Amino acid sequence: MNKHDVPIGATVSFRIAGRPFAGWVLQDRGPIGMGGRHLYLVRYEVGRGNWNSTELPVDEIESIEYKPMSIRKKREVEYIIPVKAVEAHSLFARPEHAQPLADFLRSHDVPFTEDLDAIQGEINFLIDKNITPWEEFVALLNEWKRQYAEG
Amino acid sequence: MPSNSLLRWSGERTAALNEIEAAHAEVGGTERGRRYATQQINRVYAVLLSSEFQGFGRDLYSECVDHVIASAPAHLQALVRTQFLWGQPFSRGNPQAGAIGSDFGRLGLPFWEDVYAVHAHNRRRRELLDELMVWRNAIAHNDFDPAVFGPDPILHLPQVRRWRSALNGLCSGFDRVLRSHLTGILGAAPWLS
Repeated sequence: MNKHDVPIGATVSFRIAGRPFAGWVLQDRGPIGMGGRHLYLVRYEVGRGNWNSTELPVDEIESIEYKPMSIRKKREVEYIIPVKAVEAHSLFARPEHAQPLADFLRSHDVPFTEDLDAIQGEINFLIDKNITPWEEFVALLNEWKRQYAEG
Repeated sequence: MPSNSLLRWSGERTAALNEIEAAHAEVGGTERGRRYATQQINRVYAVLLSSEFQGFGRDLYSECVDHVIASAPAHLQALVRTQFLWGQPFSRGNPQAGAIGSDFGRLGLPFWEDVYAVHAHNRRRRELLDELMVWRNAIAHNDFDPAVFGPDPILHLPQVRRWRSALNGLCSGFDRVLRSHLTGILGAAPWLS
């Protein structure tokens, strides 16, 4: 691997204290490491629902898997943003995105309710904040967007 | 060569700030509208300055951690790194002086005391950083307390330039302080002065 050839969005594997983890690259932090090496901000799950992030140089990354994203599909779901509302975590999605997103959240055991005609036909998802912490909600939404864009 | 973070501050971060300076110069004319437009640019400038300074702090912290970790046993490096990055230092809130001192303090130094010691101007520079933070928060939240800002809060370009000059000095100071601290604990200079 060259010193800075880890694409944003790539799934990477690495070890912490000898244990294997998988995560995905959120950001190339640039050539700020020792000797100008690039550091990558990586988001990963430590057991179900416990999300953490760290920075890694390329030589601590064991494998890189990257499916190029469809720019069109990536843009298509950019409008879906997590909202930290008082009563619940919330997001709005158009019907064509709401169904696959709902399936994804259910597959991760995230309880939610849907308001089917919230704003101009968009569906409002209300996620119980007592069960799903904000960080987990945001990480799951980003993961779904990534998978969607990878098609 | 200084730290990679300071190089970035004086390179791409400075270039971004210069673009705002250029935008200010582009807004010509003498009528009333110009005053309003430049006022908004000055406010954007202040917020961007705060943001780039926070980015510098985050870079420098990561760079220092990368050097410290290299001296740990290989099988512990990733574990130690996650501990240093726990709670996302420099990614929460604003680059308030207290938060900066607390985040760099994780590396084991009385940060601001060391910064004051490397240059006689640094105490005043910190005061200017505090002043910038007050403006930055008021702009970001559109909440100008009349008791602090008066009835008609106007931000002038020379004021933003004064803050920028102070932050330039602080960035160099941070670079020096951390270079000296890491040299002490690692036995070799992480970067040149």
